[in-house]
Amino acid sequence: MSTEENKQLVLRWREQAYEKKNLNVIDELHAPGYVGHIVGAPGPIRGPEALKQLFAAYFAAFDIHVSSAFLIAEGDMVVVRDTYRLKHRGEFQGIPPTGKELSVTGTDIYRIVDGKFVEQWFEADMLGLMQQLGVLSTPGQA
Amino acid sequence: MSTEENKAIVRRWFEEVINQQRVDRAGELVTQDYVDHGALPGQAPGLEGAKQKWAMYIAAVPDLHGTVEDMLAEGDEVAARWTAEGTHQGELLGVPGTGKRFRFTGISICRLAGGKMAEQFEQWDRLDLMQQLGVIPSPGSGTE
Repeated sequence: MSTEENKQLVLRWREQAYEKKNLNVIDELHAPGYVGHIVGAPGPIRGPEALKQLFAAYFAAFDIHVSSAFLIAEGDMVVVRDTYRLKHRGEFQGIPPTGKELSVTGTDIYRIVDGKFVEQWFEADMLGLMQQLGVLSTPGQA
Repeated sequence: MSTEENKAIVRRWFEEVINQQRVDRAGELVTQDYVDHGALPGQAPGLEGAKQKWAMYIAAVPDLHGTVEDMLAEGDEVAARWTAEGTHQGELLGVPGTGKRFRFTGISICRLAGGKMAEQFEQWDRLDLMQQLGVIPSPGSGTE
């Protein structure tokens, strides 16, 4: 796989998941041994089924639109930095829907082998998310 | 500058500025008009602000250690996945020293110009750090 092919895979994944809400594409694009190190999850996400469940939970809680800034590729890895615009329309971690519109940044690193995601690291500003939901104040200002 | 040279600059930042606490080396690695998208409230612009921020972090966490886990580079951009750990001794992000050890991960993207870092975007979970310091309750911690 070239770095250009890897970047196209990431863009296709984003289009299918976030614009088309087609979570079945996870089976096509993620290796059976996929491991996700995803912010906010209690442990590694292992395998496509677990990733589908995680996505389903987020899509139930939020309408999500993503726009990508940086897209950097070298070897078998791709980095992408995104801004997520969310609308809180379903229960999230025990918080009933607020209808609030939020903006959160996130950065992913994907490791790709033979056209499939085998490993992923996702970092995001979960504190900013919770603050915008009105659940938390800023530490040190209580 | 080659991608290997760019990666070496970022690696030096971790090894020298952070781990060896050589904030005085920052000027070799960062441009005067450096743009820090992870700037703290009140941070001065450019190189001076970056030095202030790291001097504050090191004063708050005297045993601060950053480890680069993965690095990739393309064109004039470098991305690094890293782990930060240390003991929270002094005031950090508005939180007085707790004495607690912490460990968290992040991903930073740097744009380099003329062999130095000109701009950086950091991404790490501030909620996780605040939970480790005990400032915000963790789910199931029994303090909610």
